[in-house]
Amino acid sequence: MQLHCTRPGCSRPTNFFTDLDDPTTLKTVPQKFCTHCGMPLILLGRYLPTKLLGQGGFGAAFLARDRYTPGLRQCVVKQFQPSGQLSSAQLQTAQDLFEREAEVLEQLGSQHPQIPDLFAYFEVAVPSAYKGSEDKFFYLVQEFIDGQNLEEELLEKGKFSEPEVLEVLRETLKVLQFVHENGSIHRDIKPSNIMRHRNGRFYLLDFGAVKFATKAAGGTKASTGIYSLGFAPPEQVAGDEVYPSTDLYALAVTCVMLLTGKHTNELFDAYKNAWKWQTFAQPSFRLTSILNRLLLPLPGDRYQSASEVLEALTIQPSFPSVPPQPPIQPSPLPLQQPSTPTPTPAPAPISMPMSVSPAPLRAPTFSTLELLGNAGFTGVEGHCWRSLFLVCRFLLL
Amino acid sequence: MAIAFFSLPIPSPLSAILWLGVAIVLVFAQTKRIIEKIDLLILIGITLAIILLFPPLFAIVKVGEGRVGVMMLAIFGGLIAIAITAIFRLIYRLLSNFL
Repeated sequence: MQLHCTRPGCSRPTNFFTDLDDPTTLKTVPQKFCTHCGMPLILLGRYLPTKLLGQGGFGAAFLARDRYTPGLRQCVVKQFQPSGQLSSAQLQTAQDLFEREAEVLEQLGSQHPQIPDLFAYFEVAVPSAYKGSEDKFFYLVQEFIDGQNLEEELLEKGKFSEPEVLEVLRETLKVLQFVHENGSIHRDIKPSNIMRHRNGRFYLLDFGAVKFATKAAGGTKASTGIYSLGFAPPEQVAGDEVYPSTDLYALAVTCVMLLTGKHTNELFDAYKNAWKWQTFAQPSFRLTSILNRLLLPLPGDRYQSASEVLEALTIQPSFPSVPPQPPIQPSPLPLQQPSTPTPTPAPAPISMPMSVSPAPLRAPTFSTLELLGNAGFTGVEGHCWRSLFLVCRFLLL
Repeated sequence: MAIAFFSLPIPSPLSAILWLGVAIVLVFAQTKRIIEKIDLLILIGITLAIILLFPPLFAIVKVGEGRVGVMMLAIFGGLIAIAITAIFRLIYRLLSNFL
């Protein structure tokens, strides 16, 4: 079995222990140490890091196995590992954020199926590798989501179709709705933080920048300056107060990125200080207007909550002349989806025929093909020009 | 449809009004998606069947001979309408890109 050392500077972190392949040894061995730096490898006596998943500004994430579960459940071990030289105050902020991520995961993860669960949060003190001092490491163990994040999926696919983007949007909005209702703001929505599980369900990851909107009310409200450039709205970049619509803005940027397959700096016209994504993709009128409203620079101009956007996405207006139609396509429930990696619902125009969001979106959308088909029909049936000609002749004579 | 209306032995203002009314209903129904896709084909089929079965209904057609003329008119009608729509769609796209 291969174990991965979690000490930040370890130059040869990969360790092989053939004796651990035996299930009884695996369950009983008290501890294993890195052959290179002496770091204890079995964390908290039960989590065995097996490989490095990724490294960010905040720390590293390892794939690990829990040896006290029958199936050696896979989980993610995140280590707090601030990079670069930080002042002690900044270090404290960073550490607070790490702790807060654990808190939020514990609070929200257990209640919502699309947020990973927290398994453990702990501190390990080990003797330093070279000096006589002691190093402290902070760890967070969470549910492992086996799948691909949207960034990887986008790289593979090039771009997403409109129905796929709508699915991402709906599913993520549902999670965000829950997060916001529980008084938190995610603050770091981007494709790499939305994960599609093999079973088709979407998960929202990385609550490392999360903020308790309610708790901050009394004290400082300013954002901490943690955000992803290109996804953060102006108020977050400026370090001002953040709102639920801050997350919605970032989600809209994510959707636009998925729709066009372009990077955010190609989609934003810095010269005009405006988004120009519509030159690269033309989704239906309704989705376009929803996204554009979410991308407005002033937080107050955007939709104010995830539920408002969901409403705009699903409302079916009542037509007095037409009896209420049965829903043509039920909103895709992630759980019911087969294991196909890209479940494609019916084409967008059909799935949302006449749904209209409150104010300016009255026109039902037609694809070019449909439009031409309708035109052909009208031509055949109506014989417009000929009839018009006859009408004109009659009127003139 | 227009052919039929204008061939009817009724004053042509009346047939013009009838035609306008039905055409407006059809266009409206399309924009509201009350009729779409297969419905359109069915409607075309029904109309053509009615017209072709009753010669008096296409008495007005002078192009070609009889039924062939009706078919030609229908097909060209469709094609021209598609062409006009495509041009307008194109203009709309260009404008919305520039504005």
